[in-house]
Amino acid sequence: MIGAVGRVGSVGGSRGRVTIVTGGPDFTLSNATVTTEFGLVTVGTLTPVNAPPGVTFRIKETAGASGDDAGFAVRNG
Amino acid sequence: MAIQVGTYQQTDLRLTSFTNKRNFNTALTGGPFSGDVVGHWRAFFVRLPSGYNLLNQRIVMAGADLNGAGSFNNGNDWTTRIPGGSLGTPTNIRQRLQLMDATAWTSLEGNITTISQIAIGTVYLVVTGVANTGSNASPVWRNFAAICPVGGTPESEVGATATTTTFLANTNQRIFEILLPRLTTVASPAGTTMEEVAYCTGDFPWDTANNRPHHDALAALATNGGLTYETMLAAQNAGTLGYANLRTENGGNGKGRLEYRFTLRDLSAGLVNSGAIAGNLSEAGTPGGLTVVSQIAPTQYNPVVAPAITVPVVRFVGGRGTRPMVRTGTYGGTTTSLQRRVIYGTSPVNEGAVAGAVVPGFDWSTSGMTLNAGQFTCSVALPVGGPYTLEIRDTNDTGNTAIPLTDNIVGTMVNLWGQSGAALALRMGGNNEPWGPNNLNVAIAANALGYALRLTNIDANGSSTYQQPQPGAAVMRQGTTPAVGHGFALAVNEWNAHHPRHPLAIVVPAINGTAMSDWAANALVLGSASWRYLGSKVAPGVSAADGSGVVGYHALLQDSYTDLHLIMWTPGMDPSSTVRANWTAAIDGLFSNSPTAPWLVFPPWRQSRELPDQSSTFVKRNEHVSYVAELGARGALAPYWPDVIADGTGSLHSANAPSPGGVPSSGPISDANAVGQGRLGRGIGRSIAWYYDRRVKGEPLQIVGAAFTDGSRNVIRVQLPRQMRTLNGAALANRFSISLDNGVNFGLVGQAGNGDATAVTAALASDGRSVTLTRASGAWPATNVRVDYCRDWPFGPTEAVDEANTEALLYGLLYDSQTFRGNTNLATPAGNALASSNLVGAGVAGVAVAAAGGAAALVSTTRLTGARTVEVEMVDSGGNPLRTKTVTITAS
Repeated sequence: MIGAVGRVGSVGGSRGRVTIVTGGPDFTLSNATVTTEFGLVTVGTLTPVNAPPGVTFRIKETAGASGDDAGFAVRNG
Repeated sequence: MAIQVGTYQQTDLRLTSFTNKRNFNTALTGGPFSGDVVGHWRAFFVRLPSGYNLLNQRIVMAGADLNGAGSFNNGNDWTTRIPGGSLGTPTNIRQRLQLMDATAWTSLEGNITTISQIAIGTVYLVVTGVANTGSNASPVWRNFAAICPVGGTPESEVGATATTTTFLANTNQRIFEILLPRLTTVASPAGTTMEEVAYCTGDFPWDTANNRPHHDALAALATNGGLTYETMLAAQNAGTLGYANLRTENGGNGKGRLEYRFTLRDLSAGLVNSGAIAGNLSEAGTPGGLTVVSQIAPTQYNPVVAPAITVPVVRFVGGRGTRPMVRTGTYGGTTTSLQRRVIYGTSPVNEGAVAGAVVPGFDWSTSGMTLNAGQFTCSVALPVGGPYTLEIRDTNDTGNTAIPLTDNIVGTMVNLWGQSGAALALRMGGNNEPWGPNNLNVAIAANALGYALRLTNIDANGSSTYQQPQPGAAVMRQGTTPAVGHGFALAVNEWNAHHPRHPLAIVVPAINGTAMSDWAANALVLGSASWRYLGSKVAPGVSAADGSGVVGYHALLQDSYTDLHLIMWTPGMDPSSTVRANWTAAIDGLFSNSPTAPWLVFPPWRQSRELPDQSSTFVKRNEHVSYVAELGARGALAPYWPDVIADGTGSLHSANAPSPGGVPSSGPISDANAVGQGRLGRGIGRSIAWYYDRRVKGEPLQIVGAAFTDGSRNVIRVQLPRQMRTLNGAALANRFSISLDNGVNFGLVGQAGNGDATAVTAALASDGRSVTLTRASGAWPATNVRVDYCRDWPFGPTEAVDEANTEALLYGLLYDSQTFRGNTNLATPAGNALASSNLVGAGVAGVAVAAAGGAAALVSTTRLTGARTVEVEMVDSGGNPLRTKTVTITAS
C-alpha cells in the first residue's frame, strides 16, 4: 500500500539508549558502553539503515569550551 | 600564672641535688663580683588562702629540711614560715614571718614581730636574707626580713645584732630545697599560692640611712610596672639603681647573682631554673596535688606578650579543599587560651565574599587551637577560595592580638618537572631568575586567583660559588596585572575559565640542562659542591646546602604535598622504565603527604629542534606515553603541541630571549616569548582544567582513522577527531607522514623517507572533518600502510631559520574550533592542535590505513568516566544531515 512504511525493528539488546523512529534514513549504534584509555577505543559501530550510499557520520560538536562530546569522535570507514 | 596547693600534703616542689652555703667572709670574684664580700637573700610572692587565720601550725612556705622528715628543725635548716592565725604560742607571730636561716637569727628561729600580719587573700612580696651593710674591707652583717603587699607599702625588720660569725662561716646549710612543703602538719595548706621565687648570692639594696633593706627597692619589686629581680640586680651591679642612701662600692649598689630562679608560672617551664646553679625543681610526693592558677605577681614579671603567627613561606594550601590550613606560632605572658578567626582578604574569589567579612563558620573560636608551652597550632578546614586572613587573639584579653596572617589560599597545587623546556614554559630567565616579566601585560581574570612558586638560584649557582636557593612566591589577584611571567597569568586565567573561584598554584622545580636519571640518583646539581636534586626536607643553608636539595626543599615548602604533578622532559626523560620508576619513587618519598598524587604527562611540545637532535623525536614522546602506562591509574596523557613558537633564531625554547628584537647569541627578531608562552600558558591551564573535568575540550587530538577511498588505493581519507581548520586562511601544511612497513619507518608524504617518493597532495575536506592524501600516480600497497601527523616537530631551524617567522608556517597546521591557545599575531586564536600518535613500533605507530568500505564507528579518544550524551549525525555525500540522534554512552 502506498504510504505504508514498515516499522523499523528495535535495536538489539539494551546496551544503549538509541531513540527508535519509524521510516526514513536511520542508523544504529551497536554498543554504548566503553572502557576508555589514553588512546582510541571503539565504542560501537555505526550502521546506516534505510540510507543512501556514501553516508558518513560525525559528532555534532557542542558550542563552548566544554561538553559531553569531549573525548569522543567518529571514525568513518 | 602561679602555682597553688590543690590538695593538702600531696605534692611539693623540690630540688634533687643541693648546694651548700658558702663562707660569706670570702670575697667573690667572677660574674658581677670583683672582690665583693656579700651575703644572700631569698624572695617569693605568696597569697594565703581563706581559713588561714584558723590554723595553728607553724606552716612552712619554703625551706631546706636536712632530716627529710618535714620537721625543719635541724640546726642547718632554713625556713620561711608563716604560722597560722591561731598559733598557740608565741601569739605575736600569728600570720607573721618566722624565719630560720641556720643560726643567722638568734635562737633557732627569728620571730619577725614588728612587721604587720600577712592578710589573707592579699599578694605579698616576701624577702629575707643576710646582708653586708658595711664594706668589702670591713663587713657589717645584718639579718633582715621584709614584706610588701603588691601595690602597697613595704615593711621590714632587721636583726638587732650582727649575724653570728658561726653562721657567716658555716658551709653546712642547703641554700635551697623545698617550696610549698607537703610533709607533716607544717605543710602549706590548700589554696596557698606562690610565684616568682629567687635565691640570690649578694646583698639586697640597702638603705644606709635607715639601716634596712631599701623600701624603694621592695616597693619597686612589688608594684605593677616596677622592677623584676633581674632588672633590679642589673641596676645594682651597674651602680645605677638610683635610690637615696644606697650603699655604693666597687661600681655597684651592692652586688648580686641569681643562683636559683624559678617563675612557678606553671608546672613545666615554671620549674626550670634560670639561675647560675644547675638544677630544676620537680614535683615530689604524688604529682597532681599542685594546680596552676592566674598570675599573682606584678605585671612586669610576666608581661602581656602578644601571640605571634609564624609566617610560612608558602601560604597556599593544596588539597582542593580536603586539607586543613595549619599555622603555628608563639604566645606567652599571661595567655592561657587563644582564639582564631578567619576573614576574607583583599579581592576574595569565594562566591558572595566581601573583603574583611568573617568567613562563615570561622568567627572567633578556640576550635582548632592547641597550646603547649608557648607554642600554638591552629588548624582550620577552610573551603576552596581565598585569599583568607587568619587572626589570633588571647581568649581572656581580646585586645591582645597577633599580627594577622594574610594571603592564605586554598585550592589546587601542581608541580611542573623537567628541564629547560618545562623551566621555560611559563617564565623567562635562567636558573638564577624567578619569574620573568609579564610582557603581554596579562591581567588576572575575574574570580581567578593564582599563586606561583619558583626558587631563585634553583641550581645554587652550580659549580661556581654556592648561592643560596631562595623561594619566590607570588600571588596573582583578580583584576591585577601581576609581575610574574605572562605564561603563569595565562595559565591561571584559562584554568579559571573552567574552574572559576578555585585558586591554582603552579610550582616550577624544573632545571635547565638536567636529566631525570641524575635527579633519581640524587646527584649534585650541575656541579654544585653540596646542593642535590633530592636532598632532605630541610632548608638550604646560607653558605652550603646543609643536606637540602631541590625536591626536599620543595617538599618542605609545600608541606610534602601536591595535588598533581606535571612533567615534560626532553631530552632528559629516561629511556629506562626502571629509572622512571626510581624517579617517581623519589618524588613520592619526599612528597610524603601525597605519595599517590597523579601525573599529567605532556609528550614534548615543539621546540626549535629537528633530527638528528634526538630530543625532538617521537622516540622521546613515546617514552612519555610509556611513562603514562607505567603510572597506571596515576598517569594521564596530556596533549603534544606541535605549534609552540620558540623564540628568536635557533633559541630552542619558548623563552630564551626576553628582550624584543634580539636573542643572546645572534639576531634578528624576538617576540619576547609572547606567542610561545602564550600558547603554553593557555594550553597548560586548559590541560589542568581538563584533568579535573574531562568535559573540558582539552584532551589530546589525534587522527582517529584512515582508509583508502576505493579499491584503487590512490587516495587515503584521513579521519580527523573534530571539525578542523587552518589559521588565518593558510594553506594546509603537509605534515602527514606515511609508513609502508606497518609503522616501523615513516616519511613525510612525497618524500623519500618512507621509500616512496611519489608526489602526494593533501587537501582538507570542506567540512573540515577529513583530509585526503592523493597520489600523483600509482597505488599504495593494500596492507602495512599507516599514517601519522606532525610525527616530527614541524618547521625546525633547518626549515625555518628565523623562529619569529615560523609562526606563519604553523598557521597551516590543523586546529579544532576552540579559540584559546595564543592570540598574539593571530586574527583567530588557535584551538587544540591535531598531533601525532607519539608512538613507536610496528602496528602501533600512527593509524593503519584500512580498506575502503569499512564500517564507521564511534570511538573514545581519552580516559574519561561517567555518562555522556552525544549527538551523532548521519550525513549524505554532500554533507547534508539525514538523521541526528542523541546517544548516551557509559564510560569507565
